[in-house]
Amino acid sequence: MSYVIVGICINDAACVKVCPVDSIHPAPHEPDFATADMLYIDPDTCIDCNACAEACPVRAIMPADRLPEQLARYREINAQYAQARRR
Amino acid sequence: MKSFESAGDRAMSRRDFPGESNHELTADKLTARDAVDRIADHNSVVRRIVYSHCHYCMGMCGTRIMVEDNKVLSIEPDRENPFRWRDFCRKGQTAAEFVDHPRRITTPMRRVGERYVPATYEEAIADIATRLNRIIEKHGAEAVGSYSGNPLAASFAGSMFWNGLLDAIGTGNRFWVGSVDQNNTHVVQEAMYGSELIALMPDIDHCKCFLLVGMDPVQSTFGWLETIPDGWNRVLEAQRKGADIIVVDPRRSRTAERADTHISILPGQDWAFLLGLLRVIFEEQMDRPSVAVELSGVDEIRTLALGASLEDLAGRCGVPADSIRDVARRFASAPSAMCLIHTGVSHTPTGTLAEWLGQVLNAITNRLDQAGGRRFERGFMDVAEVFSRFAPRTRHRTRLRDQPTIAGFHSLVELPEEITVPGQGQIRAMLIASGNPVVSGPDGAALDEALSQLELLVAVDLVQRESHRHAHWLIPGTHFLEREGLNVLLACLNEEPFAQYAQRAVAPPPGVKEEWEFFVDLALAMERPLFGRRGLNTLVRASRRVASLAGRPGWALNPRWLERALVAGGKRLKYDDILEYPHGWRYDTKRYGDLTGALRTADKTVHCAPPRFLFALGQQLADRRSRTSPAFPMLLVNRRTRESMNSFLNETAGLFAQDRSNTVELNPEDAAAIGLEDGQWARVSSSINAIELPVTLVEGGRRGVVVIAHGWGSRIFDPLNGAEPLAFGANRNLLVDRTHIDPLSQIASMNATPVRVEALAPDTGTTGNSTPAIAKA
Repeated sequence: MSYVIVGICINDAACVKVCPVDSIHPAPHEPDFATADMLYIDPDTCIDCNACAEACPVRAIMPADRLPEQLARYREINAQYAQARRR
Repeated sequence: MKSFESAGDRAMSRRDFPGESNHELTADKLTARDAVDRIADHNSVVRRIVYSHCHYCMGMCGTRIMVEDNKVLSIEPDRENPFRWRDFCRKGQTAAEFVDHPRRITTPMRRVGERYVPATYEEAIADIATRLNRIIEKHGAEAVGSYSGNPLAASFAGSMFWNGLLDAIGTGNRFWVGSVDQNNTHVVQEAMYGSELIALMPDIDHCKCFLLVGMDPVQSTFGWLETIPDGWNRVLEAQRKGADIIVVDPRRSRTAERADTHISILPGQDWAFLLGLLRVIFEEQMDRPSVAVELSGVDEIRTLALGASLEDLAGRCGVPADSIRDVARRFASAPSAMCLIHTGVSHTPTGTLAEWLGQVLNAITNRLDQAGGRRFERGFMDVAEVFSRFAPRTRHRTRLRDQPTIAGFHSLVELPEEITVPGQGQIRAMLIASGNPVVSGPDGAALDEALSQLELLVAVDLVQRESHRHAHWLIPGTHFLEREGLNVLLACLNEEPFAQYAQRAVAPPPGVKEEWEFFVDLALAMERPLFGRRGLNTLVRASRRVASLAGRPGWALNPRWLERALVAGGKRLKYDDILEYPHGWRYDTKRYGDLTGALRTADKTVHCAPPRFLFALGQQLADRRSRTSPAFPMLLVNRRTRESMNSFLNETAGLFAQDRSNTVELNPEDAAAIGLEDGQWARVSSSINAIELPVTLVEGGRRGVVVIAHGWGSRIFDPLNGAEPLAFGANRNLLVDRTHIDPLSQIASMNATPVRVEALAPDTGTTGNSTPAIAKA
């Protein structure tokens, strides 16, 4: 499983700060940050610790298996960003 | 050189270098002895993966450590650990930064004037032994005092041989960090269950009503004195399935935000709230017979609770009587429930009473040893039994206040006077191992002053911290990444049956001895018998001689002997079997029904009304003094943050790569009344001291409550070059009067400290606090 960020993300990076495994990108010091529409969680490194969901001021982060139907596509959107970043 | 052959060394020498990455190896192919695996990346640089567990906090997350040569490249959670890794945090991730800390003590150092000069272990041990012996001969063994911190307890070898050294010296003047936050639980466990070491695990997954008092598991995960993996997420899961979460905390913590009900209590008055719950439950006859264990003293506690007025208790704790009634009904009528009380309450003047009343609440609603309540995990050895034989309770009492030990040690609140007040038994030399009591304890200024008066201060640690600034000798400590072993005692504090041998990731700096070796060598040099047992020193020397002659370092006395003996004594597991599981071993499934057998009370009942507690509660009921006054109208409380579960290595730069803060958290209405805005600097004063910090406004907390996290304001010195100390934030414990204590636990009241908050001019601010003041290592 993994956690997933959905489109209401406001890029405040509160989640980046608390992630113990640097799983959320782009981080404020990374070049993409200034232009990013939202932040993304790498499903391969997420440890489901829930820290980001707790920190998010707008509740934009939820466990992948609890995504409402209309937000399910964000699972793929998060994974794709992580993949692209690794390349 | 290490004086014993480590399991890791054996593994390395046995194993050939595989030609390609084999880090996908699974548990059934790997044994703990082989857990150190060498892999090669495409550049043919040799890398190893080490499976171990973190030692920062009781979460003890399984770790997967990538090592190249003798350097840690990365630390990740070990997802193959079958029990614990989901509480992994930034602190565990950045732990290696301290291995290479530029100010690390890598050789003994002797104080010469205001500077330190490197020395050999031989010189250090000879000098310290001579000076200690001289002090003992002149003033008696009591003239040598000691203090140990949490990181020493994380090392079984370190803590055992520490006791071995103190027994050799023969001093009863032993102080430790447990007296800063956990002694109240030991006192209650002793009185109710007959042993200071009987801790009851929360059975989270079956619980339908959580009453969480003075704890913030969003930050602390869930563990405290025990390991409860992924505890908070499991509580949330239970909530999704219908469980009720009631959080009692003056602060609007993240945990409180997720609760079904948040009781914003007056700091230090948890006892009144809990007694109110008992009153309602008895009054409405909602108490239930205890099924698994026999209780005694229920009639006394019933009489006492029914004699109290709910309105009076409500007034004392600042919670409406209707809320108390509501919580009591929800708790008592839930099919399963638990009351859990943690640090926030320990730090109050009534922490022991509250812990006791919380345990009684569980007992009289049949939550002991029941599914979803608090159960006893027997582990792989009977810790209470072993300790009663191995380390019998000391009768030692402190010289000045005539106080007993708790869990074998005296309270830090007494240490300054024991050093400064003249007389027979006055402490003239101190050994401090992996501890920073000037910062983690109350009124550090008084302790700092006392430490400056010592004839000899020896500090064993990774770096020279605040508490070591007057040290005559600095002795290198080791990082947990540099040690291995089975922490037998902590291993028995797992929520479920589980055992894991921690592997060493890297070797300590050349020549650095592990703490236990230094303790043994010092006892030998002092010609005083380790553990106070005649003949042991001869055995140590003989084993070392044989090992040296045979060329088998593993034959010399080492901590593995003790670990092996204790595991064997438990008669449940074989030590070698534990070594077969590099990711840790769930050797059994949890079960209920073991509490009655574990009780160490003479009559084998759970004592609900220990006379000492009844008496103290009566006094409390008669006491109507307010803690606040016009001069100090607010109450200071503590908080945790995930990255500083304990203050050990808070200074790690990468821990706060984005930012970090040490601020005064205030309710916006309070701030407005004082004339403070978010980010503005404030002075917080108590009856004994004052500190300055910037303000953060936090909605939702109780008015009149000031929150500052502890663990900051400690300096790291540069003993070799004398450069400016590194520091961040302010030490809020300087505000805590060490004479304001819970008399039953002897814990200082780090919560519910009366303070005054004043605004500083908007452009004031002694140092830039929102930007890291510590350069990246």
